[in-house]
Amino acid sequence: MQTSERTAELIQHLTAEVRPISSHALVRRLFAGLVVGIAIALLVLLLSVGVRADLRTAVFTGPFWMKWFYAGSLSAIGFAWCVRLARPDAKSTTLPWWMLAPIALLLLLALYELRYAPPEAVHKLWMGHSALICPFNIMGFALPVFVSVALMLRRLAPTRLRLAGFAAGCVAGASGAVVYALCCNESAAPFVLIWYSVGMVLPALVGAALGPRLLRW
Amino acid sequence: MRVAANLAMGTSLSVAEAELHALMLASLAGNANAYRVLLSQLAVRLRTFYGRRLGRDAADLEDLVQETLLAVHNRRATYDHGSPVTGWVYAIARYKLIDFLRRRKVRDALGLDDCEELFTADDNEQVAAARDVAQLLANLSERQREAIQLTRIEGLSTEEAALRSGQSESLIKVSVHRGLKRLMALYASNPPGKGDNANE
Repeated sequence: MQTSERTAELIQHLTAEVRPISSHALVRRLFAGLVVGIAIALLVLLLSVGVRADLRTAVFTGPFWMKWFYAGSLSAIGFAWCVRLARPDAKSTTLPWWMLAPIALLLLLALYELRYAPPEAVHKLWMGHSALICPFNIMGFALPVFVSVALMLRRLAPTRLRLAGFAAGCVAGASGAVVYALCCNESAAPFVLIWYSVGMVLPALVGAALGPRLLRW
Repeated sequence: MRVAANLAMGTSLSVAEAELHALMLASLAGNANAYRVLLSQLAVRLRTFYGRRLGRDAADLEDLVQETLLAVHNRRATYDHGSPVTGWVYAIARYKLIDFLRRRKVRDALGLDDCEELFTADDNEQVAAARDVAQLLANLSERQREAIQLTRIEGLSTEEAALRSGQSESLIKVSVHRGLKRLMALYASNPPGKGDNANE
């Protein structure tokens, strides 16, 4: 048959020169995507508003690490989820549920802060001074991460595109928040719980919406 | 899946799986011979896979097989060394099948096959338009027809048209002017498109 001859030809062509591929290649490529995206976001941060003036002292304070731990752990879990979804035979996993752990921890911290705050300070704990710009800034820093991770992801083999887009959006949102925390001087747990989360969820929803078209291969 | 069930039962399929797994690992390590055998075996399996779902003689079957082999090749980094090769390959094959069916559905929904008729219709229109022009030009004097043909249809300059036809430049200009005026009058009294549609 002529057509299967063409297939044989294709196989000859594909196997003419075989590069070895490490079993870590997938993780490495996705991680490279993540790193490039975060680097671009950092560059944008440095070239625009810059880091917060008191970063030197802030890195020794609790609120700074609260933000980094919250966003960083969500980014890490999201990344591990992306790694799973990058394989065509990805099975359902309980992995994303681990995201509830940092959320629950922050919720506890927020409740603690609210419990001991004087009544007139409660509003400030929720709204801080940058509630309405915070989610949009996070989205802005999430954008390069999303593009970079999605570009890598589509060269791998995701088959559940909406879910993969959602996961990529999670990583992007959380990584964007990690970057944004370098210039954000809010320190209340309730603020972070609400506005950081909004800034992370929005890219995830955008990712889910774009996934089927963006990640197709 | 049946493959997975057979795997669990330890039937001959799991022997095949073990063989594929060994071939896969060798291929990923850079063994070209193993890779050739692997892709050939996968091609056979894929042909069966798609044949069962689309019909043995489906025109697109071999295209799908090739497209899938290419995806297997380009995306082999996504193979998890501990998982069954068949599961991985069939996941890719299933994705390609769904993609193919969706594409076909979209193509059918848009009626892209009908589009060919559209293009033919377009050709007809051009032919009809050319015929209309010829008919209209037939109403003009020889000189006017030639002047318009050269300047307006072939796109020559007045000077070139004068050289080609042997008329003087000013005569060309006058002929074009009078000819166009006459054509406008003819067109206004009898738009050709209307008459044509009535014929068809």
